[in-house]
Amino acid sequence: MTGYFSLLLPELILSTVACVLMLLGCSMKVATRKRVPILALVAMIVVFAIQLGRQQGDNASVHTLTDLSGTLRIFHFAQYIKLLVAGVGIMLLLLAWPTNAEGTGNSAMNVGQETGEFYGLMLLSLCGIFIVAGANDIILLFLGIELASIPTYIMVSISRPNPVAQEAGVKYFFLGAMSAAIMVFGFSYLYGTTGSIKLDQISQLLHPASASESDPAQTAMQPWVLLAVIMLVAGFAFKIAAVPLHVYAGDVYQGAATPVTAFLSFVPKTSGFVALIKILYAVGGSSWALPATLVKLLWVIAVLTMTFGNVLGLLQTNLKRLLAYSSVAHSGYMLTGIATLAGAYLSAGQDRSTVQTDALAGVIFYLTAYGIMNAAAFGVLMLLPARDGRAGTSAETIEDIAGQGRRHVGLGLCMAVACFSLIGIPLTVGFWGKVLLIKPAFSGGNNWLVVIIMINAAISAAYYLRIIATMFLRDPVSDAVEPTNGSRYPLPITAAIGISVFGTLLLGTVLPLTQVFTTGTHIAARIDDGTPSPK
Amino acid sequence: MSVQNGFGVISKKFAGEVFRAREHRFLQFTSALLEYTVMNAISLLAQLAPAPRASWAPVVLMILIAIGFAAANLVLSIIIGPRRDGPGKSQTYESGMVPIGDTRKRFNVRFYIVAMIFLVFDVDIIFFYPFCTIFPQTVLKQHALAGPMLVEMILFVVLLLVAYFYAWGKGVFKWD
Repeated sequence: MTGYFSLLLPELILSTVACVLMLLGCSMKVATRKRVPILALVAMIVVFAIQLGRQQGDNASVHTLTDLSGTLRIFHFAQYIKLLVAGVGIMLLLLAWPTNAEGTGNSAMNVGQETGEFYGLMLLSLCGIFIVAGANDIILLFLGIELASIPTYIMVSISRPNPVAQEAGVKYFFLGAMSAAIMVFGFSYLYGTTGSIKLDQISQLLHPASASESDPAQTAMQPWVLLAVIMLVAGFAFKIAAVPLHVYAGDVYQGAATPVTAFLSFVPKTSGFVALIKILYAVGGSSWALPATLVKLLWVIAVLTMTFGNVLGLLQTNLKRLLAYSSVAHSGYMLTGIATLAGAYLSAGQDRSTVQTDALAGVIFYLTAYGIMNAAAFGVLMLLPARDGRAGTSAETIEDIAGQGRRHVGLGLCMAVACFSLIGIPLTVGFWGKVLLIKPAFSGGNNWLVVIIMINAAISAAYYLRIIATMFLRDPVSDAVEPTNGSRYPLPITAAIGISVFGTLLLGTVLPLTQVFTTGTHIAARIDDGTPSPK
Repeated sequence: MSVQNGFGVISKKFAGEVFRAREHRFLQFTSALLEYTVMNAISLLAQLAPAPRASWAPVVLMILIAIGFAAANLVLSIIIGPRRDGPGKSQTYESGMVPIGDTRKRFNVRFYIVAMIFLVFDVDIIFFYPFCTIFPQTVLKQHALAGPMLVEMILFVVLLLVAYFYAWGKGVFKWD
């Protein structure tokens, strides 16, 4: 049992700074707008440092941290997710840095006077995932997911003065509200059947300690619980843009300003995956005893998401839309890990727990890898000019980037690294991500899943390589206009691309470093140590 | 006999107490019948639970009840509801004022913002009320949660004040 204050310290810092930023947003001074991102960055770095200090090794003396009423339960999983979100959050914050003279935006984004509010919302959204990671209470879990999502609806709308952005924001808001309704309906059934709102108590009720660990009958689930879980999966599927709830992704990602698109491709997705893992853990117990119906459902969603994402990605000419469908496909890859995890109880015999740990560690590693490698792709798009040369617009269509790789060699190479990593070519972190997902799928007996992942990786190579080929092999379109305002390579955005590219390459090539991360994710695969909650 | 008032003519029969009592008895009877049937059906279906397909029956029944309840309410109100329309009854209700003009006109956006500010203070009362009933008891019993409860409530008020000051700073209260 630990005090509220120390348990919630990162969340408190983020929400306090968010409030201060909101109040600073009232100021009309340029100097204030310029200081706002610095304050946000300092807060994120402090939170990152706190989380780095809280990472613990595989130590038997470490127990689940919980508060007086058992609303929060924090173990390795939650601590790792918080560290990951703080780290990637710093990168996403740098991407959205207001670099122009008025402090209202950068080459791809224009939030007008609302710089303070924009950063405040960004920190609140990141704070939402922190809460999702630590929550042990389905009400707090739901509030955390909504705290992570609602600010993003506003961020999409205010990110640029453009009807497309407004449309994207409204679309995202209404569909998000519908998914939240389905999710909360599912939570209500979960409460109705178990009579508890605490995840650990739900787990104990559904899987009493007296029951045998490897009994297949453990996977039997009351229809009401199954209905609840299916509704929750539907709600989370919207957040992670999984088929068939992916339809918003294209429009919303295209409509939002590029830094916000980068934010959308990581933050709601992470909150959805973390919540999904926590709910599966709660209803499956510590041995992940999940019914075959649910496993089949996850399997089908994973396969459809990968395939739809990649095939639709092939058809796009707008790069942000293309990256949106690539993000859908990457959700699919991560869902294969979840499907393996869920199916291991029934299909993998003796080495069941190894497969489960590997699968969950694979998902967490892929989430890390995706967060690291994705930022570079969006950052490069932000720094390349659009053909029509309007202020505050950056490259969006495939025509815009034609031949730009030869004009801006550094950016071209960064994009190449990001694309190779997204395909999963060796020497990048994306390769290890796929390896670590395929390995447990293979040993868990999901051979068909492995085949489908490989086919999808091949399909995805077509459109990622098309980006690189267009950048380097095609001639620039003659009416391309270079941006005239401000520095061509602003430091914060270049720094974000740099962190992303170096992270991608270092984690892909320096094996001891990769080893550090795989060990870290294996420790993070432990969600709870089962210490009883205080009554 | 009828009464003339500002809204037009309203029939005295509108009070219709005889009808209301009959309607009430009818509704009591049907709801009791419905409850009895549903309870029996659920317990019967619960016994079938081990069979996997039959175990979904409560879920199906739940959905049927949800649809049936909505549809039955609509149909019942059409069938047994009294319908005595008059110019007074069909008029728009405007909090007791005589309505003026069309509703489809543009309002100043300020009204919307004021409504949002109202929400800021409206929601806090919902939260204060249960807090005020529980907090004195926790203090008297010297419960461990008394301190954190107070801190949380102060934090909540501070958060509301942030919203208030934000609105102030954005010029919501400047009413030109």
